Amino acid sequence: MPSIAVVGLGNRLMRDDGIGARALDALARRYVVPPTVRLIDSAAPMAGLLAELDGIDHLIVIDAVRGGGEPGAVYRIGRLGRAEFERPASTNRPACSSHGAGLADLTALLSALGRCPEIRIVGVEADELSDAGLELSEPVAAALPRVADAVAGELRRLGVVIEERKVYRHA
Amino acid sequence: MADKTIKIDALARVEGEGALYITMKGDRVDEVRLRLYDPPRFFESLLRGRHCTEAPDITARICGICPVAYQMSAVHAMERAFGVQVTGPLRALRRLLYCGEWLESHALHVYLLHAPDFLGYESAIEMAKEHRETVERGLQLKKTANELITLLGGRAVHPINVRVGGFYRVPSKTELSPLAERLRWAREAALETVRWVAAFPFPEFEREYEFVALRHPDEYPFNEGRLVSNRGLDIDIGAFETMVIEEQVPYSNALQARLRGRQNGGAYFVGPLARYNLNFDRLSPLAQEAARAAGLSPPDGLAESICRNPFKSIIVRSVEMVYACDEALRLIDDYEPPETPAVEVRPVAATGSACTEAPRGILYHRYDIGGDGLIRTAVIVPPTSQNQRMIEDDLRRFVQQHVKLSKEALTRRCEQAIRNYDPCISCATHFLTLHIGSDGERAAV
Repeated sequence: MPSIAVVGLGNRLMRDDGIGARALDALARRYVVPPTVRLIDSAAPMAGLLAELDGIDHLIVIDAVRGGGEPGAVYRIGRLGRAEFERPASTNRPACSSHGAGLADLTALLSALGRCPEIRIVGVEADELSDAGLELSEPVAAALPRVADAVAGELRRLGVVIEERKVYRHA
Repeated sequence: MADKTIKIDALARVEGEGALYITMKGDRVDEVRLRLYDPPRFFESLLRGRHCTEAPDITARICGICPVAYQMSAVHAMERAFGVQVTGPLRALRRLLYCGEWLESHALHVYLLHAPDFLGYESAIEMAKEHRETVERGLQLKKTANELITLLGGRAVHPINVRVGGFYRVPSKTELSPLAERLRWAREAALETVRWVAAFPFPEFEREYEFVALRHPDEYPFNEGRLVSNRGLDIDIGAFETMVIEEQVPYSNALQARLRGRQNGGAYFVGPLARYNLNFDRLSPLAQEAARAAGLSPPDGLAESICRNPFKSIIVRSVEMVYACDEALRLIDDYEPPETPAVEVRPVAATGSACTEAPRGILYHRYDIGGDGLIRTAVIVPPTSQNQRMIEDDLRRFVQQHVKLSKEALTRRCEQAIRNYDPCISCATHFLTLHIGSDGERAAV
């Protein structure tokens, strides 16, 4: 069985930027995730994930995206091979601060070291990204069950047996 | 959801960008402005109305790199407000947790951000291709720190085990011993790091800085001490806001801090170099020896022989990595589990403030708490807003020295100079757009 990690990217204090972290909560409420699957909640990919991804073969990333759709739309982007995951133009310069290093920096570094996992992304079209706040916007909050289902779908594709809870756990 | 695969150019992150504006008059640098994106400001309002016990978990989310610093400043401020002192093994565990954060943060910055500048690589990614073993050593150091934080903090990323009064759960002595094994390796690796970075080429660049850091009677500072400087500042943290003035500047949404009553704008320097210069005598003998061997400080350690070259902060960070390992090992060796994981705290209407030494410098928190335990006001002064004036001052001189360089080369050198401060720009920003204008104009490069 390959080793798998699900990463919720983003900051819970920045409204919809926190969708990744909150989707992890939703996943655990809705499904019994086997303990072999690592769930990682991280706002800073380089700092948070670098050492955590040792030995991980498959990475499922949940993140807020700007994809041009309606807020709350769920996108599935996968499978990104090692070479296909290019640094987007906006982060083309290397990060100046450890705080600025993003997912693309992380995967580029892991590729250079010859141990970049295969990456799938479950993206959620964000509405409110630039305000501080503990709440998701309404359409994004409403998407949580669909995001959890999409992540469960990705896990199943990787051969993970994942069962829906009969009684949902509340947050 | 129907399965659909579409292509999206960039994953959205919170918007925000650091940008540097340099205005030239002829070949003289006229003005330097560093625009930073500074979220802590927003979070002060978010804390209002929350219970005081929530502050460590909420503020920990401000920064993905130094959550422990936010937790430590928050709990110490609350405890000072309520007149509670956390002592003995609980206090020691907090120091141990902070050792983990310094080691993690410094390893990341030294190996992946700053070293490539000195060795002429575009980034750590390029460096990793040619110096794989070295980069792996940095990653292993970081991993060791992650293990320490996982044990004490509940998990490596965004630890959740800290609370006002102590912890939710404390480790047993047996749980700590495998960690000691790893830390002994890390201490050797940190010594190796000091030797590695000490051989880097350093620009000739020294200035008369006012260094500000905590100073404790016996220890290299993490959570406690008076706030001191090499120019006579010596205050209790309760007086922080009488000495430090925060100002809005029009070009940045980060507030800039300055010291009251100083000439030349009141810029001051916080972070490893300040801590080191003010607390060399509090380092462990091993860390002192490593610093001397690296040519950082002469054997007499006299006040006038302090390090004034900010580029050498990479050596100081490495020395602090040695200290963090050494101190962690000492704390683990002395550890006896406390009877309870936390002391009892009863919120009362009060105001409390605290400063702790985040990896990149002092982090100040103040909270006004109501009788109901709810936060009325919160003030957070992060290290980078305190260093911002100093970064600008450095750049003004540095750019003037290198004004003949191409824009591309100059941009790189400026980034290196900014990295001396390991700035906390935001956990989600892109960096750095350099704008050079002439004769009062600003043009985008």
